[in-house]
Amino acid sequence: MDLSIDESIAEFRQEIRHFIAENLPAAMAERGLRAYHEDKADVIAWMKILAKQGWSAASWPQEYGGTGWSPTQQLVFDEECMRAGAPQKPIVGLSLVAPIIYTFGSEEQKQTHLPGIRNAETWWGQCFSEPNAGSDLASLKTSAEFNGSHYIVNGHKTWTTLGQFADWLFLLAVIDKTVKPQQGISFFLVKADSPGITMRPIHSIEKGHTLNEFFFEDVAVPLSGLIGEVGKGWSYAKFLLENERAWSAEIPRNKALLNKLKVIAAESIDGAQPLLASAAFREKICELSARLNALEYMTLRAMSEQHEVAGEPLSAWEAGSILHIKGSEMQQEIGALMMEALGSYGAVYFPRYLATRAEHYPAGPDIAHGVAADYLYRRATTIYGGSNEIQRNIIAGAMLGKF
Amino acid sequence: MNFLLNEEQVLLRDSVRRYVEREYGFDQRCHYIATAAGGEKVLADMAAQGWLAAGLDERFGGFGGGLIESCLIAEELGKAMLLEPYWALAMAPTSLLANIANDSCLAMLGRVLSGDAIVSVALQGILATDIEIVASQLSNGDFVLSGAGASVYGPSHLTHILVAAKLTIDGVVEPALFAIPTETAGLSLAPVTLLDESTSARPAFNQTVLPASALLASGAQVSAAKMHCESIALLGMCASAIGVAEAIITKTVAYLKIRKQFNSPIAKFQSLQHRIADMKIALEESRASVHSAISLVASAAGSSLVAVSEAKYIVGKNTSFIAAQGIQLHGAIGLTEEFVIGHYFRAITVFNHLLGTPSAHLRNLASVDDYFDFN
Repeated sequence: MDLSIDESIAEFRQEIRHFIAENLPAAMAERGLRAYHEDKADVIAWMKILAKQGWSAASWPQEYGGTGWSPTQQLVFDEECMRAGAPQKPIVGLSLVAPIIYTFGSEEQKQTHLPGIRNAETWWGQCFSEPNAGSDLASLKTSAEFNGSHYIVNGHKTWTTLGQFADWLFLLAVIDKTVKPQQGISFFLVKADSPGITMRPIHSIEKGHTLNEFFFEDVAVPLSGLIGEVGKGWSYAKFLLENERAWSAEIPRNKALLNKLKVIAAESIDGAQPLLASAAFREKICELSARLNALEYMTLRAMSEQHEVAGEPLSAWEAGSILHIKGSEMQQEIGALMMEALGSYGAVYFPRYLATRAEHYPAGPDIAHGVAADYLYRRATTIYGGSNEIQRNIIAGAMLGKF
Repeated sequence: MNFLLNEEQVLLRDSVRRYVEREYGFDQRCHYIATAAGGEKVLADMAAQGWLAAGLDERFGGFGGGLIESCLIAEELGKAMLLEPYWALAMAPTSLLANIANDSCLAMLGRVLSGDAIVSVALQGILATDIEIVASQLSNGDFVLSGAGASVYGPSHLTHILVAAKLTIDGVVEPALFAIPTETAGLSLAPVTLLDESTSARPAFNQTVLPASALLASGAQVSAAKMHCESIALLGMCASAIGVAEAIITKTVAYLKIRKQFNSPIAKFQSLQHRIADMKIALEESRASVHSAISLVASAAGSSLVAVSEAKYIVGKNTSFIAAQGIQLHGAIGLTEEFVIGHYFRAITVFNHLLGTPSAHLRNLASVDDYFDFN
């Protein structure tokens, strides 16, 4: 163990900050700082800028176009992007399916899909959950039957984030009902415009649209769409969720949210004293700040362990689940304090921010834009990727073992 | 940063762990308390094993380790609730003496490492703003000390205490560090038994005369070294509280699996599963908070005091939760004197009250304006 602070990180941060200042268009940053859901055109444009620099797939292994950055450098890069209001990364492709493809996919699948993800030419949607298989993912019903040349997929998937933009979908489907789900599920890559696929948007409480349902009716998936081995879909999905959880503490986002909280608390709202003058409110901020700092070290530890012991799962201390729980709860707690700090403006519906229609905005401080919507949307954080109750089951299961 | 223990660190941790399992089980601890014995042996063992030097650089007679190594030891010893606190009797004095590192300090450090002197530092914590003990020099070179205001921990077998005082010479006031034999006339060092059966004492000086040789160092370096030592002591305490919390969780997990109610091991009940999961989360968050503080204190970064306050706050709050749930999940047996869980709870209670309660540290953080800077 060596916890000495890498002095070169400050320099690296400056380099990233400088790059962003030079390359991130101002209008895009403005939208990024005030809006709560990503804008597809902005995401793609920013990804192309990063791709030119070789930074669009920073976390990937270098042989597939990654940067070789250390975990700390990756965190710093994300922090600086978030701080500047850069568009969010298209993580479904970049961080969820890409590791599956480069870890378990065939050479042909890697050639076909990875460049498109790295260069933001293809958008991906995840089709895991079903109306009756949420936390209980093992009970999914979507089926894939092999007809000699293709897998024929039938079923109903839901909660596909930003599926409305998707060119490709990845899904779990049952190929053998007679065995345990752990052996009877396969993992498929499917073109989103395949005949037989229909999509229905789901509008959520923040008055935004990120979620979608997908219906599959006799959708023919060629053999090239099957990832890895038949019947191993369950273990690939577990790998994906573990991978996701390592990042799910969302340190860069939580830091940006905490920063925004301090900005709001420094303002006088509703004619009252700024909340930063209140010792009680300052203590609330301190508590979150201290916990966020600890969360960052937990994340660094998990990433360092993953980095040092290649292929070792994050199970030694159930890091994935712990990070997921702490990171998701923190986003909600900071959001709640931001709403408290906004006073009466916390109740105002500010439509999604677009610079072109800013003049139609309701009156209120600029800093209020997007806060309530984000607060509403982030109720999802303790549900997606396996609800926090499931995460606690996982932690306890590992602690208690057999009894 | 690399969070995996290297080979030497694993060996060190395992040797402390084996020692504690062999020599300092709960029954043995109870026996030591009942007979007021054991302290000398444990202190001699610590010196003989080289643990006192584990966090010191080679040039001070250490093994090239640092705060990580000494916190590893503190954590393992914490699991056994050693009555002789490692953070007070090893980490604080050795770091203070090595930090100043003049001839007098190095001579004293040599005696500590060999086991010849047993030394504790009068600590105030990082929240105290002033030194309340005053010193002046007589014409023959002797010093006279008066006042009280800091505490030593583990006083039973001490040969010396290290005390910071405000020394006035020719009208100039500067901080000074004294090494004072515990038998000095005019020094009152009445031990107080704490809730966890460990002891502390508040040295009180009443025109106490010390020979000139008692002065180890003076000047600004004393303040800086003392503050650093306070941070080290706090982190050592935090590490040993984490050891206690780990021990609570291990015991509680085992109990959930064997205790049957309603014809079932109570580990089957989801509300209890989620509670034990929350205890684990609280433990790992505490550990991370100490990691953060270690990295800043070890690099002598300016923000290290904030990180130490954060650690004391988080480890305090979290281990309180863990200790309380340890009792709760054991049920009434957890309240009994004969069962170890209640003793862990008392150890955590003591930890929370020494060198600044969690709420005092949170108030401290809230008063740091830099904390609220934004960009």
